[in-house]
Amino acid sequence: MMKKALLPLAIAAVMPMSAMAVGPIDGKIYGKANVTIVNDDTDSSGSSSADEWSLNSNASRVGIKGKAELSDGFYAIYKAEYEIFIDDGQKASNQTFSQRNIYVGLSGSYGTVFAGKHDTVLKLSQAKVDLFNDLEGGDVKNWMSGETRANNVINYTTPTISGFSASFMTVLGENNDSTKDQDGLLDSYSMGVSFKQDDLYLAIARDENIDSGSGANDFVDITRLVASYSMGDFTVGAILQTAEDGDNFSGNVDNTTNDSYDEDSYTLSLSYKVGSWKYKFQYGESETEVKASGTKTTDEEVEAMILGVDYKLAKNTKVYGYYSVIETDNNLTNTSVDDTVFGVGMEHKF
Amino acid sequence: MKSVFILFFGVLVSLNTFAKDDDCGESVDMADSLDFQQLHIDCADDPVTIYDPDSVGGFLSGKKKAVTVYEETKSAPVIKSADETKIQTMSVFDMTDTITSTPVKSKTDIEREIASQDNAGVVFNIRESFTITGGPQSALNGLFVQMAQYCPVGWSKLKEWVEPAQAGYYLHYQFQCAK
Repeated sequence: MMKKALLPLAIAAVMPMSAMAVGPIDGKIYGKANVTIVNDDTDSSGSSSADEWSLNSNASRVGIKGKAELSDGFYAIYKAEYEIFIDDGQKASNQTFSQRNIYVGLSGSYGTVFAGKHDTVLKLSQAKVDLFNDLEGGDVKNWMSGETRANNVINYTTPTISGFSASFMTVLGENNDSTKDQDGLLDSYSMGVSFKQDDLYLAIARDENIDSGSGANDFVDITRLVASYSMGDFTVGAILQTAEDGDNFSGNVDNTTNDSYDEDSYTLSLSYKVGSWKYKFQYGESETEVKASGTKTTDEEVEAMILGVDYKLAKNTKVYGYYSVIETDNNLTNTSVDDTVFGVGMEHKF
Repeated sequence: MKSVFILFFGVLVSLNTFAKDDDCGESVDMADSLDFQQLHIDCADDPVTIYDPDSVGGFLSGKKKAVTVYEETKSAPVIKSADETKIQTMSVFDMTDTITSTPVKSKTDIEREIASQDNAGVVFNIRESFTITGGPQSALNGLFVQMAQYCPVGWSKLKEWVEPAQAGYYLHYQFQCAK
């Protein structure tokens, strides 16, 4: 009896939804699922060690992107991309979906302009040099600053002309605190020029007073050079960068405090494809020195080495394994930490 | 460090400028790139083209229009040869209205009308009759003659479908003239 009474309500509830679902949308859903079983073994000299197995969802994501032609060759574009958490279903802050790159903009023969939340130009300038991107113990963010996704960005990217393209992205601080320089249009920005021809890729990028999402985790200025070249099945790549304190580093405004940050770092990568197999090697180093009120508070060197292999099961699906060692030497305390990560995983793109 | 940057920048700007477009990759990979043109336009496979006239609702109704160049009749159609069945009628309307009968114009009127307009990007519906015994070859020939007439600079076929007629079938083509 109850079921009969509820049936018309159920039908009524479903009908409007199905009516709205009629017709195509001018977008496409895409994403990838990437999960790894990882063993992380951390040894600190003279003190403790930790060994843990964990399941990682490595920036698995789902996104929708699309366009609508406003006039001939002139489009409205949008993208909304969210991280999903295959390991435990949520981010630490209980978010089922975590925003990644999200924007709306216009694109045409003059280039592309958009506004939203997005990876900085400097971060994306590394293209595919980082062979272990998003993997625990492998990503360059373990030893390099500049892996930043910024809020409140306005970006312009030129069309690609003869292989050259340039981007300029301003990041609005939305902070009208008069003691900080974060309320202007150009207080923080990221820009770069790239060149791609056949198997050669080159880029130079600059972050100015950007709150870095890795390394410094503060407002820094970064200059990054990127190069990669493929020779048949071999691909070599390199990232070279230097970072220093930005205008708003450690609460600095107009250098009223004497805090400073200096980081020099680089990454080299090499991959070799043999049939369905891809062998990967990555090496990176960084030297960081931080001073607070003129006194050195951090003086450390990081050395990272990662070996890995991918095996393609299909065009969009691969399984992989990797082994990384990251050694961090603290020159102030003369101690070191060895972080060893071993992982096997699977990635499927859709 | 400065000298490295200067050297790098010099190499960057001195390279020759004959670059070719990158091949399209997976959307999720292209989304992690600064090439927004490639992601959204050059390599987009978004369903902006109407494939199923019956499924077109209000969402895109103002966006794509199709020119149907034959007359919808409620009565059973008379099967003709490909040479005989060229252009019978034409009207421009939303594809949601494809069942609606349309005013009949003479062949010369239609040809003049079509010839006078720029067909770039225009979507057409055409059809030719065939019988099971005779096979679809004659219909295909007739359809290609029509497509070449409407789209002299080329076209892409969007859809084909078959509907029964009293003495055979109609082979329908929906195609879009090259832009």
